Amino acid sequence: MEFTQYNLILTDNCNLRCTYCFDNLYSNRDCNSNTKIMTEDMIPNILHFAEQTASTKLPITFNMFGGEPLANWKFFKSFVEITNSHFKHEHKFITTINGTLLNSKIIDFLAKNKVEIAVSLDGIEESNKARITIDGKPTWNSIMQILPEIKAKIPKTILLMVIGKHNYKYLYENCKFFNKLEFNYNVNWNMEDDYTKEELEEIEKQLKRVKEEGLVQPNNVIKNNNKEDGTVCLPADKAITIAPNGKLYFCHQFVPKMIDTEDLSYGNIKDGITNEELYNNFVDRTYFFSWSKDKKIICNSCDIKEDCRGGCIADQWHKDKDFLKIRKSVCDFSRINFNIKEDCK
Amino acid sequence: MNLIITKRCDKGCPYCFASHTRNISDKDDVDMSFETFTEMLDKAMPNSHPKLLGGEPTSHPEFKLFIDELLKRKLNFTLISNFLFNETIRNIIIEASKKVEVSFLINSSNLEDVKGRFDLFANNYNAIYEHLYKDDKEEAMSCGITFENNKTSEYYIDYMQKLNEKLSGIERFRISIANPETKKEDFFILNNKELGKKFLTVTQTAITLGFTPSLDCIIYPCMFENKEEWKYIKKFLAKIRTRCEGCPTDIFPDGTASYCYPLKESIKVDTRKYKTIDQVFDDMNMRYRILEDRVTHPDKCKNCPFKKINMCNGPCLAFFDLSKETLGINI
Repeated sequence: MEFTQYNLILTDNCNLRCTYCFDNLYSNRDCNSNTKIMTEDMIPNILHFAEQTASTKLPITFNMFGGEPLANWKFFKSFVEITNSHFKHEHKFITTINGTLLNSKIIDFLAKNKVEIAVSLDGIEESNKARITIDGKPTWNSIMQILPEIKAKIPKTILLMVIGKHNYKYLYENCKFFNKLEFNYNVNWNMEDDYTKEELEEIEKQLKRVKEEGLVQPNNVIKNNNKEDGTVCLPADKAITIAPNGKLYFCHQFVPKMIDTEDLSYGNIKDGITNEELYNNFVDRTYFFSWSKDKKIICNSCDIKEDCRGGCIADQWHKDKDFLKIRKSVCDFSRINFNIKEDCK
Repeated sequence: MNLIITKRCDKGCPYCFASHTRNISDKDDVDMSFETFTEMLDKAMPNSHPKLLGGEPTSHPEFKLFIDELLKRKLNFTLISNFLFNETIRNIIIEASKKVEVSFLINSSNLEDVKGRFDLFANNYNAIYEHLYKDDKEEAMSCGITFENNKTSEYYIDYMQKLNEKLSGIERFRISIANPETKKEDFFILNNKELGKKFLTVTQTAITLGFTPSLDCIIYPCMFENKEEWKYIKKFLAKIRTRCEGCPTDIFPDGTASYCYPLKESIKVDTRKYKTIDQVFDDMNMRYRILEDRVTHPDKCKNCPFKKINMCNGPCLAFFDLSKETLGINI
């Protein structure tokens, strides 16, 4: 193994209930699934597993993920401290958080330990309305209050904006807003399959306007895809996800949280990869270009196939339980990305 | 799942952690509706074991209806009561205990404060005890007392002896510390050797009188004078816990739930937003953990040997000021 990224699911729970969240089927969450929270006694096994499987040539990344990773701050803090003092391999930490659980003490710790952070914020207040607490309360104000301190102490923080049918109309306004805040930012498209032609045209129009006005654009819209990376994420032989119970998965979206979800784990931190066939299937599938040729799927005749990486495989799996099907939304948004990039040339 | 089916209670114990619910007005949801009650049972696991409490649960005007519903569902349950009810209620309870397993956590404190109270308590207690005794189920009854600062170990020894004289039999005896009501950041429990002494004396007295002593909620090892005292407590006091091990889930008459009574509004959710009580439990545990990781422990806990070996995690959250101003977050 030559992994370069370890995604740690610190907890499967979150203090928010964003209406579009991939984990949002909370109402069906299986609370007895024994996959709830990482405990400090797991740290030696996680680090041992990483020592055995990490890339021998490249530095590695520990991605502190969730649920909301700061909902398990005790583990977060201990893991960073123990790893920094005991783990010999060159490494860094990244985390994606919702920002509502940050306070000065935590920001100071993250800054001191050079933890790179991405904070979820969907732009201006009207655009952020889907990001609500368990009790249905808005979160925009609390994030805005803490952003100046984050900017001052961790300047490289990235803001993550989710755009879906509920807020695509604010896309341009949001980009302008993030420019004003002077944060780098990414857009995550909420992959719904029922965007109308008009809606997609509107999204494209707004992104072009962002470009025309010379605003800094979302990192992941105009950035050229690195084809060696395979899919939209790192491929399965580069990144591995560790669930709170120590089981290994391709990504967080395959960790079973719902009742009756199929378990696609291919090992655990103590024994390593035990289901090689399943692991190899994921590796094949996540190298989209070679995989798509073999499978002779529709993409082979697509004119933008060189610029598209076939979308998120977890999205596809959850939608159709079929890796061979490419979702309509993937084609829609790849087309937009392609058009924007063509414009940039 | 603790179902607070009513806020009514006439006993008025000075240490009561629910005293803030005594100042009830017409606007409040004083009694849980039958619809809310059945909704909670529907959301719980099919084999759940609800605890009915209050206030005083037997004060609910439709207490019988609630018990009948539990019987219809064949659910064993626990009744947390002051045992100061009338004969009708007593008979409802006895009849219920013939059909399902009923456990009793009985507030046995402060019975001398009002004339006639001790006798009423003893009559009810003895009638139910004797009924259970016939079926060899008397261990389902547990008396309980809560320590008050102004009462000495000697008081509790006398009081326990009186209970022993008046009651047909005491099998189990629960001991608890009063939780902080309004004064936050007053960590009176830490290194409180006097309180430790009370625990030790009451535990020893209970054993002498043939009761099985057990702990309600949590205890702090630093309360004891030396290792031998702590060893004794660990050995003879059942259900010893030095840290909160999970959300008790107190569900109020209006359908909101608090992590536990003493934490009141600090960790509170609306159960109607959830499909199952397990999910309520899970979310409140998460919130507890978030807050627990962010409070600043008192200086007395620094360098504590029990904390170093992970035996104790400092005072429970009910002792802390959990406001946004203090913690920097609002959950």
